Amino acid sequence: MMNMNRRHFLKSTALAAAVAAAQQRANGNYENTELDAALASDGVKWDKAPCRFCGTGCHVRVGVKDNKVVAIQGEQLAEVNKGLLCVKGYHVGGILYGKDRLKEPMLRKNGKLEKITWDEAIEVIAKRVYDKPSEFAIYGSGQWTIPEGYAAQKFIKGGLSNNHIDPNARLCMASAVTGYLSTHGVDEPAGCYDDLDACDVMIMWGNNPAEMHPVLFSRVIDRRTKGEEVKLIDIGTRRTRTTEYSDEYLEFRPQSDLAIANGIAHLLIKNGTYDKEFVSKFCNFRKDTESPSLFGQASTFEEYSQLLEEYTPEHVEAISGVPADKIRMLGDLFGRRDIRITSLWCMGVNQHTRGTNMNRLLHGIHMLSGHFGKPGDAPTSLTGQPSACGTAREVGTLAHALPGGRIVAKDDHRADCEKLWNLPKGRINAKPGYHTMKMWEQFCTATDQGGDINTVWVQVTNPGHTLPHLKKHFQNKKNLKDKFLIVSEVYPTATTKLADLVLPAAMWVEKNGVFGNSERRTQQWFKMVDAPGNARDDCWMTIAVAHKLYEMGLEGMKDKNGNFIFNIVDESGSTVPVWEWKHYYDVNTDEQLYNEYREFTFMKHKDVAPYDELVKARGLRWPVVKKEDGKWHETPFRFMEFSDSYVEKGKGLQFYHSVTKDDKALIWFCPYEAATEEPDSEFPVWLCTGRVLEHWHTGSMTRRIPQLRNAMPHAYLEMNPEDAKEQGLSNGDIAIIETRRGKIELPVWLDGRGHPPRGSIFVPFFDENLLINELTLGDIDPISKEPDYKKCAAVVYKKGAPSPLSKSKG
Amino acid sequence: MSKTRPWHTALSSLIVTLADDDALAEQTTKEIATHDAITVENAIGAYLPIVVEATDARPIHHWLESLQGVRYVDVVFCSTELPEEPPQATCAS
Repeated sequence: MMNMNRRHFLKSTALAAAVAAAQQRANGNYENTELDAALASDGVKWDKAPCRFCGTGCHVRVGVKDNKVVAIQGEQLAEVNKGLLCVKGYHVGGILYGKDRLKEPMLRKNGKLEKITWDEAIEVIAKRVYDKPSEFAIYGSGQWTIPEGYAAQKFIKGGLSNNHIDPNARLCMASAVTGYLSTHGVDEPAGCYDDLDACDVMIMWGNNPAEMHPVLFSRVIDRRTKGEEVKLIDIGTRRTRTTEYSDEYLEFRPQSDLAIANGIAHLLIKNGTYDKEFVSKFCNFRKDTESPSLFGQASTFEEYSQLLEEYTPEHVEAISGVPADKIRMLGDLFGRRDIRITSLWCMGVNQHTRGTNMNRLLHGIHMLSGHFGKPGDAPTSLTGQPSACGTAREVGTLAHALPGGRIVAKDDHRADCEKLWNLPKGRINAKPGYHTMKMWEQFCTATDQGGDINTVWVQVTNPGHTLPHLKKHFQNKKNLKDKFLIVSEVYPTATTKLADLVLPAAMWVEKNGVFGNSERRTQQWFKMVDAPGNARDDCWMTIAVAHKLYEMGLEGMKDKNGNFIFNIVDESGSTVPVWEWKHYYDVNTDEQLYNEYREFTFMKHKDVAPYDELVKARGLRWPVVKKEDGKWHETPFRFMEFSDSYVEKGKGLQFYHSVTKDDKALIWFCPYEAATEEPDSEFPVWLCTGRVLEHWHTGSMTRRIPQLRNAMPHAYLEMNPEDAKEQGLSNGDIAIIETRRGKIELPVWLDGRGHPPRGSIFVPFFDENLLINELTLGDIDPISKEPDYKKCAAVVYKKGAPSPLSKSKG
Repeated sequence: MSKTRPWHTALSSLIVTLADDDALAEQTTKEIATHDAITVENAIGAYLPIVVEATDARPIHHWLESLQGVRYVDVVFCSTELPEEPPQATCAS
């Protein structure tokens, strides 16, 4: 039984934390914030860590006793969450303790997964790589820690020379990357969460932060509580909880957000309210080439204005369904100089067959109107994973990338990396590897039909659940006997179901780690508890396989002096055999890999902080620069002289990695284009997929927590009551949803949490027993290669009723 | 301050952001304080710190959000312990 004294202690801690957070909210300060003050009373030891879930990057205090996490509280010292957490943060400690944690390596033999030793598992992987290094791929995620992702991409790019590594960030953030790159010339946002404290208007583009980034949303709602005026505008395709808090709700026809953004730009020019000085000092113009490309071709203000001519409010209304007067309202707001506007977006804009273009247009209307470069004036893409920015994007785990903003296609970038890694010249391949969609397509295609990916090692993600059009991109693997799937995981998932080798992984505070959140904030934590059974760190697995290959004589695992490419040393400089698990924690491997990575971050002025500074801080926003006072300073606002040390004195604003090499950003014209699959007579409704409050992504962690599982036990179909009535469907009835890729049965939920308009349905994707991604489209943005999960054509009918498809086919 | 409660339930603390209307806020605070599973501290401005001890805090969270005098509910703290040691620790249970 739980010790009564400890319970008393925990309760007083819980109450003290709430009082302190309330104090902070009311007065902007804490009375008692020192983590040390909370140490070791009644045997509970507290330490800090970023939350394991979304990209907000809240910090938690983790209470540990007897090698077990016993309590979680919001970290009062964290600027991001100021002592608060969302309901998922509530449960983050519980994710470690699901009953079915994977604890032993398992190899599939005669169709069944059977326990093997780690030595055997490492040998199996090494042999697969050694036999066909060019056909080996790693598929990771924005849940990789920075050292894990760094080690994995060094193994593939510096070791195997095939570049076949990509993160699941391709499925969620790739269009944000191409949007930033093609606007600023360099990835990652200029602004930060401080913008939420300074904006007068917050526009959410296809975004539901009230449920998906609640701590950030609460920060804005809190300003209203204090009497500040903040206008919230929800531009979406269905009413959500965010809508309930918004002053304006503009419902648009899926895909037509492109037209709305163009409508705003049209009005800024027509009304003469664009910021002429800002545009002339800081902007150039671009349009796409005939076939879409990252940097397009030069354009002019005159041509841009001409191309926007047709986007009158009435024309935009005809495309989008948003009334012309509301388009004018948006145009008027952006035309005002006396207010500050922040735009937020996430998957609604990024998971879009024109996601890059939509990102460009949002940046463009902020540039054109001068709503950029001041706190509160910011276009910002939020992320869904804890290190989508820090690892997936910055460390260079994308198939075309190298660390610190370099790319494999550039000779000097490859040479740089070869020098820093002490590799022989020419080791890094100039050809980008397969992006996610292509990687899985090649893996799921028979070898004799050109499927030239033979083995995939999945780390910290669940592609058997999240890839679109799952049959094509994942499930077809089942019948391909020569293909081999390795999965490092913490729980059984839809991906482990098809795995040939399962590796039990340590998670979150069972290992050291470093994450990077949505606002360029790098966050560090230490291991606090042991992983269960024989579960081990992903980073160790990569190094152990690399060393086995080194022992087998694979040249790629040697640097140009013949030494192992992962050389971890002790204080005397002697190599520590960290590839042997018993020695992995003899030294801080994470710190050494991070320090190695840090050297790559200076070229693009993404200087991450020294590890020791991260240990002291609750995250620091890069570039982190040592100033004359001898202290390290973070950069809340990038490219802005008042905040960013790399901006030359007197410039005010400087896009110092400008595509056009003149310190200017690019304003793009991108037309409205129809979706690649739109409703028609056979499949008459739009299908949109997304997340729910209770479950994080595929639910592999949150579905292990009984309260969350019980609160949201299975997926559902959200539809408009009028549409439901036409199909004879009531709440709780089983409906069949069918697309050109498959069909699924789901219970109907009317007037529930979300409210789709007529002709549109929503299904959450968390449920591994009801895989909606068997139905989703799989069409991708031509530049970012990110798929569209938000729109495809479907038909819905009551189970037992004749299929409308059989009728239409006669 | 602390009411006597059975200790076999888990623990979480929240901040409830109350409505601007003072009378409504006061009435809501009283209503929250009557809940058996909730301990209420003194409000600081519009922010009411509370501790929840219940078998499942989610319905309580929903209930709080549904009250007319509540604008928002934020989470601050959560115990992950259950009364019986392992096999499955979780929070707010």
